[in-house]
Order: sequence, then structure tokens, then C-alpha cells
Amino acid sequence: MSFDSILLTIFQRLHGERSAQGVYHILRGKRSGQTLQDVEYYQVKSYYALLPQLTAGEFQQALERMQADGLIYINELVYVTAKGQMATGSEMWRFNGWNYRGREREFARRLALLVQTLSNLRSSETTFMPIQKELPTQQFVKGFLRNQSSSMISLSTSLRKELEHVLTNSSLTDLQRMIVSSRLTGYRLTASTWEQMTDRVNLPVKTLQLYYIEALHIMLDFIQQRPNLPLLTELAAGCKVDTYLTQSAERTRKLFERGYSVEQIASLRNLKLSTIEDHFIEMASNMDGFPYKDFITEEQIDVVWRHVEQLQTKRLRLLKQQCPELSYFQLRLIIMIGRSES
Amino acid sequence: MELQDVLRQKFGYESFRPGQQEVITELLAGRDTVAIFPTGTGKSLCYQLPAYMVDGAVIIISPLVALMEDQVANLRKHKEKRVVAINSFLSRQEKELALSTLAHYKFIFLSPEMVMQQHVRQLVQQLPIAFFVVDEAHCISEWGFDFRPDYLRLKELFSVLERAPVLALTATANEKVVEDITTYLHMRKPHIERQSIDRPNISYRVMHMDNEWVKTEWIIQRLATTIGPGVIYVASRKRADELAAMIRETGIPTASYHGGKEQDERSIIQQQFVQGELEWICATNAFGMGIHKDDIRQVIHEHLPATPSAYIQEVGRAGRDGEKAAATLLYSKRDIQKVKFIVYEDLPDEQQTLYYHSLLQSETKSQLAAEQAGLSEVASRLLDYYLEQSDVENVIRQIHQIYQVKEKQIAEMECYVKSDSCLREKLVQFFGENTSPAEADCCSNCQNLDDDWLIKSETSTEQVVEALQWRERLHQLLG
Ligand SMILES: Nc1ncnc2c1ncn2[C@@H]1O[C@H](COP(=O)(O)OP(=O)(O)OP(=O)(O)O)[C@@H](O)[C@H]1O
Ligand SMILES: [Mg+2]
Ligand SMILES: [Zn+2]
Repeated sequence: MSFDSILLTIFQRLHGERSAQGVYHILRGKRSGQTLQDVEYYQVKSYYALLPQLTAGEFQQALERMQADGLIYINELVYVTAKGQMATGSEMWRFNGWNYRGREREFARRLALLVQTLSNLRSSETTFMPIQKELPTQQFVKGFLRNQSSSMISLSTSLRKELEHVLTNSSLTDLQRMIVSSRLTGYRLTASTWEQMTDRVNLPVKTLQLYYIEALHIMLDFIQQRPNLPLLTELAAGCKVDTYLTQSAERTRKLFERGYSVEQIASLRNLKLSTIEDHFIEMASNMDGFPYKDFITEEQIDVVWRHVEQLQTKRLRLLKQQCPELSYFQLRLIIMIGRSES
Repeated sequence: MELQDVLRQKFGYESFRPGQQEVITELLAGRDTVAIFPTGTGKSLCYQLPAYMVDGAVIIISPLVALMEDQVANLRKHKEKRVVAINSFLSRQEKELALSTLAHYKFIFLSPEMVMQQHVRQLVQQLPIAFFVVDEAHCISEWGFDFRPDYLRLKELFSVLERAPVLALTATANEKVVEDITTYLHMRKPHIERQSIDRPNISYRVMHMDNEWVKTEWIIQRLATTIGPGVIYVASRKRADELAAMIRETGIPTASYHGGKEQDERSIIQQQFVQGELEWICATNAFGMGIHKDDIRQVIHEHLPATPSAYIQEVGRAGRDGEKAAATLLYSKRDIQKVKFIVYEDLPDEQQTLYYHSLLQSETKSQLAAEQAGLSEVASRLLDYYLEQSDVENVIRQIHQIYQVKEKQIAEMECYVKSDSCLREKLVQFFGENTSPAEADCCSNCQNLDDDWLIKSETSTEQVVEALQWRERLHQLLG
């Protein structure tokens, strides 16, 4: 529905255990141990890096507005009021921020430029002002076209068929279909600005933009699962994150694979122990089959999770009071891994 | 090949416009050249064409990213692939990529900041260069919102003994500015080619109004009864958005355009305007250079531009096709105060200068010092440049001079709006030219305007284009 409802959803999931700053980092997609851990803990991965361009000012404004409206209450940490809970709405967002992290916009730019190019070429118009100015996008589309063997006209039709297929079958709403197609420019047909769409459907710009991002995520997910969309698949190349680890965590992972312990890695890499522990948390949240049993036992997992249930919190300080024998690192790991299967 | 043949084959034009051939011939003879042609009369061709007649790269120094992009797109339109633009908007990787392949390009566009970076400059100087071009060269002697110290630093690039010739292009330069250009660019016995700044097909109007509200009323009324396409220049981004929304309410397709909009949006708006899907644009001074639309019929100023040269540039967007166009400046009493405020805000006064200097002396970081001295970003950039060149007393003197120049320019604008003699004559006089009033359609003071051609015909009422359904739209785009 709106930017506010996204914020409310995230604040609710974090139920008063994180500051507003933490949410800002989630939306911007900060790659720090803390943020990565937060998105996992509180199950807000789908909102991760949703708005990489969000400015501190915009975020602050939204907070102030929501406070003034009595939707949230801030006392270092952020709490959602009863009124806020009602206002969150029941709409389910279908973002996949974790997988795309802002790269969906690059997909949109490539698509826009490719459509414009093919649309003009099939109408025998070879000179037009490219609607996308970014050099990497232009180079990508150039390379893309160079690799095609079919004629521009048949390429154009194939692309239209693929797009039509995706828009029809990928569970977008009608509004989203309208938005996606309206952002495309071609021969004698220019895209609509956000303002123009706002006038047409009577929704705020920010809301339309969020629907658009969601639509791109849905389309990209869909394209990835279908083998019969060669053009769009190529166009989506590199938009999905392939390595989820930060470079530094990746280096730690390699050393760990070669049999070094946490302490050894810290001294080898000349980094603080806590930094290396952050890397392990990052690995635990991103890798299937992370060997967590090297650090904790099944019993410990059970005990901690029973406390989580009882206290209705995942705050480490409180859990540590209950299980003083466990280190903070172990506690974080346990929360990260989740309840054991048994 | 003869010049004429290249003109026809490469560019598809039948003949040169006045002055073009002279400039090209001088440049090809290896002479430094200054070309002063009115807006929209084909200055770009003066470097595009000779580029094909000599070996080596053409280095074009251009002040605005939008302008660069436009020139690049324009060259590509003429089937030229060896074009690149390097400016601060490129990411590091993009920039590295472009720089590492510099030798492949025939046309290299650079911002002054970029070309003055040590390693960029070295790379450029290693290239075989046909000639240099400094576009919008009046920026060298203009201070203000877009004060660009690096334009002044360009002299380091050109003071070397052996170098390729330099071509300076501008639409607005009086004797003083031409002198600045030739000295700062170290030009040697330059050839100066000047075409009259007057654009006979543009008629001028100044309208006195009581207040902002009356201006708005007038604009709404005017747009309801007269034709576009047109541009309305306003003082701020906020005002651009606000006015555009009001006009849209009346059913006229209008958008705002300013630096605060995302690149994607700006591209779309520009495209819609060029294609005729939008009739009016409400813009800040970010709109202008680099927008190619030949049939703009009206330019309206809701605020007072700070300099005659800015006014000439903005009005110059109109009537590039040679057909009639109308320029209107709406003036109310407080406008002088307003423009002064905006201009002086960016100029440090004596106390600020001294304080800033003393802070820097005591090793305060320049950003923090600027904040403490209450300097705008432009103001501190300006001081940084001058303090690097000379001592603080001298700097104060120089700033004072700038202040006087600014004051004079605003006074000229004041004189323009308050004049009761021919506006055309007034305007060109600021650039050291003389002209006589046009026989017909001259200006509101000559009282020979015949605005029949401006009146909207009944049939041209806006047709609301139904938004296409998404499927139809895809078919229409891609077949
Ligand atoms: N010899 C010619 N014959 C016909 N058209 C020409 C000729 N030379 C240039 N033009 C056209 O005139 C238009 C304006 O040219 P250009 O952009 O070079 O103007 P300019 O003088 O640089 O203006 P500005 O001061 O606004 O930058 C272009 O569309 C260009 O193609
Ligand atoms: Mg030009
Ligand atoms: Zn006159």
C-alpha cells in the first residue's frame, strides 16, 4: 500500500527490539554483520535493500510523520502502537529484496532501452535519443543485440511474446501490469512519468514506485524459474545476487574450510575476534549446510529456544542472563539457525 | 574532400549557415578561433565537421552533463560511434573503462574538473589531438551559481608551447568576455567570428504585474488561449512542481523539469516534450542547454534571470526552426530584491572571507570552516580557488570585483524590464551590439506586435489520449 505500511510491517516484526537506525540499514541494504543478522532473526529478508537510495532525511521525515500520527512510539527503540497495528493493513507484500538488492532496477533499465531500441528499429527508425543514459546499461544492450542472430523484427516479436507471457502468468496485479508497461518507451510512444500515472490511478507516487519494485521482483523470480524465456533470461543476467557473503566473510570461509579455528583466523587475518564471529553469523545465515555443530549442541539449541518462547524475546542480553554458560556468539548462532528440527 | 561535400554527405545539410565556413577554415588552418553565434544557429557543426578533415582526437570541454550527453547522442545520430563523455556522473569503473580505451575515440567530451585531474590530463596529452573545443566558453568569465574554478584552471592546459588549436564557442559574449576567453585560454592571435546576437524571429515582451498571484493568473489564462510548445522558467524546483500541477489541472499536458528529478524521469519528460506529448514545461535553469526541440513557440519567465546572458540563453531555446516565437518576461517589483538575495547568498562578504581564512590557517578542515563561516558550497569553492592563488587581501578585492560585476548584471536586467524603448535594442546593447527595432513583431515597447499567430485555434483543443491497455501497448511497441 504505502511506504508507511512497509515501515510498520518491519517495525512490528522487530517488536521493539531495534532502533529506527537498524531499519534504515535494512532498507538501504547495509552489508554489516548486525544488519544481516537482523534480517534473518526477524524474518525481514524480503525487505532487505529495497530502497538503496533512501536518504536519511526522507526516512527521518517518515518517522516524524508516523510519530505525529500516533502510529509508532520511539524511545530509543521503536514500538508500534495499537493504532499503528491497525494501520499496517493486511496486504502481503511480495518483495524479494534479499535476492535482488537494488539490481532489479538495472534489469528495468536494460529492458527499457532494449524495448526502445527494437521498437524504433522495427519501424526503420535508426536515430533516437536513448532513454537510458548509463554507460553500463547501454553497453549491455549493445552487447545483447550483437549476440543475436535473428532479424530485429523477429527479435522484437519474440521479446513481446516473452513479456506478454511473463505479465500474464506471473501473478502480477492489473495495476502492476499497467505500471510495468507504462514505463516502456518506443517508437512514437513514450513512457509515462510517475506523476502522470498518479493522475490516472489516484495513488501516491511512492506507492506506485513500491508496486513497481515488487513487480520487478515477481517478474525476475518468474523468469528465473522458466526455461522458455531466453531473451528475458539473458536480460536478467547478473541481477540476482550470486554470492551472498561479503568479500571479507568469503575470505574467512575459505580459511575455515582449510581447518583453521575462529581464533586462528582472527590472528591470521589480524582482525578482531568479534569481526570473525560476525563472518560466521553471516555464513550461517547464507550457506546451506553450515556446520553449526562445531560450535553448539542440539541440547543448547533446545534450551535457548525454550527461553525464547517463554520470554517472548530474542534479545541477547536477556537470554544471556538465562544461559550464562553460553557466549554471545553461541547465542547469536542459535537464534540464527532457528529451532532445531526435533 | 571539399568542405561542402562533407557537409552534404556527413550531415545532410545543403549549405553553411553564416559564419560556419569561416570558423572551420580558420581552425583547419591551425588558428585559435572564437565563434560567437546566437543560440541554436549551429556552433556544434564548427567542430563536428572539421573533425573529419584532420587526424587525431577532438577534445571537447563542456560545462554540463546534460549538454555533453546531448552532444554525444547527436553525434551518434550522425552515425558516429567513436564518441565518449567522461564526467563526474560516471562511476569509478565506468570512468576507468572509458579512460583505458581513450585512444579509440574521435570525439572526447570532458568536464573541466575531469580534464584538470592529473592522470586524466596526462592521458589526454598523450593522445594525438586534432584540436580542442571549449563549449559555452562564456562560463570562463561568469561567476555565480555554477562558478567553475576549473574553467579558469584550463589555462594550464593551454599555456604549453606546442599544442593543437583551440576553438571557443559561445552565444553570449561582449568585448570583456571575449577578452577573458582569449586570455584564460592562452589563445594566440585568435580569429574572432561574430554573428549578431539578435534573433529576428523572436519577439520580446515585458509585462509588469502587481504580485505573484497575478502572474499565476496571467500564465493560466495565457496557456488557455495561446499555443505551445513552450517553456516557463521559474525560480525554484518547488515552484516548478507547483505551477506544473496547476496547469495540468486545466487539462494542458505539462510537466516540471529540474535537477531534483531522477534521471529516468527527466529522460521521459524530455522525450515526451520533443515528441509533442507534452505541451508545456515548467523548469528551473536546469532545463535549457542540451534540449533539442526546434519548434518551441513561447518562452515565459516568471522570475527575473540574474544576467542578460542567462536570459538570452533561455529565450534562445525558442524558434530554432526559424519560425516566429514569443518571449515574455513577467516582472513584479519585488523581483529585483529576490534575485539579489539569491545571487549574493553565494558571494562571501569581507568578514566571512577573513574568518574562513583564519579558520583554514588554524588547520580547520575546509568543509567545517565553510560551515562555521556560514558559506554556501559555491561560496567556499570560490574562496578555495582564490585563496590558492593569492593572499587574503587580494582575494577580498577580487570578490569585491565579482560583486560589482554581479551588481551590474542585475542592474542591466532591471534596466531591461523598466525600459520604455525597444527591448531588442536594449538586450543586444548589453553585448556591445547595435540594432534597430524590427519593422514588425519587435517588442512590447515598439507596440508593433501582432499576436494572431499565437492564438490557439478552436480545433487544437487538447485531446485526452486514453491510456492504452498493457497488452495493446506491448503490441504497439514491439509488434
Ligand atoms: N548548416 C546547417 N544547415 C542546417 N541546419 C544546421 C546547420 N548547422 C547546424 N544546423 C542545425 O541547427 C541546430 C542547432 O545547432 P547547435 O546545437 O549546434 O546550436 P548551438 O549554436 O550550439 O546552440 P546553443 O547556443 O543553444 O548551444 C541543430 O539541429 C543542427 O543540426
Ligand atoms: Mg551548443
Ligand atoms: Zn522593439
